Amino acid sequence: MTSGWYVAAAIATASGVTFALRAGSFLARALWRDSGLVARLARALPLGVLTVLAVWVTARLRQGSVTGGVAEAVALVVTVLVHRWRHHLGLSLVAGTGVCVALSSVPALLHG
Amino acid sequence: MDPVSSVDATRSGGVAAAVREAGVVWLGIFALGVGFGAWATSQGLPWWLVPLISASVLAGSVEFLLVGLIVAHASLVSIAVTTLLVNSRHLVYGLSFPLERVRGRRARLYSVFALCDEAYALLTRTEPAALSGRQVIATQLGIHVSWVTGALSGAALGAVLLRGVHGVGFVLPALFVVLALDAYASRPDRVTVALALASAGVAQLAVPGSMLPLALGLLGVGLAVRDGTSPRISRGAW
Repeated sequence: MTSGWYVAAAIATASGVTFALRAGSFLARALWRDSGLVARLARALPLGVLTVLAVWVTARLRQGSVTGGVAEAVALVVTVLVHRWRHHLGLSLVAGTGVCVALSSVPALLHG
Repeated sequence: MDPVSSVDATRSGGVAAAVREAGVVWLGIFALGVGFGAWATSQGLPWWLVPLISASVLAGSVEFLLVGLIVAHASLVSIAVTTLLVNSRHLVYGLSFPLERVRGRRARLYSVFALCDEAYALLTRTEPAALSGRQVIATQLGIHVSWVTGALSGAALGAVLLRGVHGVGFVLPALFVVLALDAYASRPDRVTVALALASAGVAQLAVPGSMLPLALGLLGVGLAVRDGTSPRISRGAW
């Protein structure tokens, strides 16, 4: 294992850069507080950012899947349907993840 | 109502609201933390180092990369550059995160430190006025504690905890998809969705491995251009 000082410096570097980026975003907001453009961007950003994050995670669903992505695809449809039905975040997550875990256990059952 | 009991009401109310809105997400993050801890020790990291990383960085994707970089004894410069690129998306988070609801210098500092993807997603889906500072901090603290205790459990107990169980990691993709649906329901803005989908598609084709920074950059430019070209009178609408 590498030296303790190196590991401490490595963690401090990643932590420091991450904090600087998070703090920098509030600095930007303070600097452009009177800008109408920034205020309107701030209102539209959550929907845009969440859409991008949703695409990002969906595109990576097959990685690490034991069913070639089938369990994840079915679970995604279940999640969306349950959410449109009940509009309850927790219920949708539990239903979707439950389906994904159940379907992911099928290959082991078939082969073991 | 006397001042003391009203303060108490907001106190417990903020924490209760955080549990109600984020409780299931905390459980999911705990499960992801277990996976991270088990994986990190399998890479050769001592078990006690894993919760230290989770507690002080609090950014899942960077932590996975950081473990690999530490094991490979990468230079501090390459660690800094990797973190900068992967986490550059946080540069836009402060624009809409309800930090103004948090009172007190130390609480605000913590709120900025703990502004991860999940905190941003959970706390920008309601109107800032409906949030208390306590709910904001409790939500972030819950994410932080779940991630660190999950990572510690996974690192200490190894892969035993999740042996033979697959598919738990689906909770995170599900979270972002559901929150995107909610964001659209509360703000049916098709142009923003179209711009976001186009940005994500282009970025996914250009840099499949790490599309996020480019996608969010394109989204920011797209939204600014849309703002500049939309007639002034309709601007209040979005």
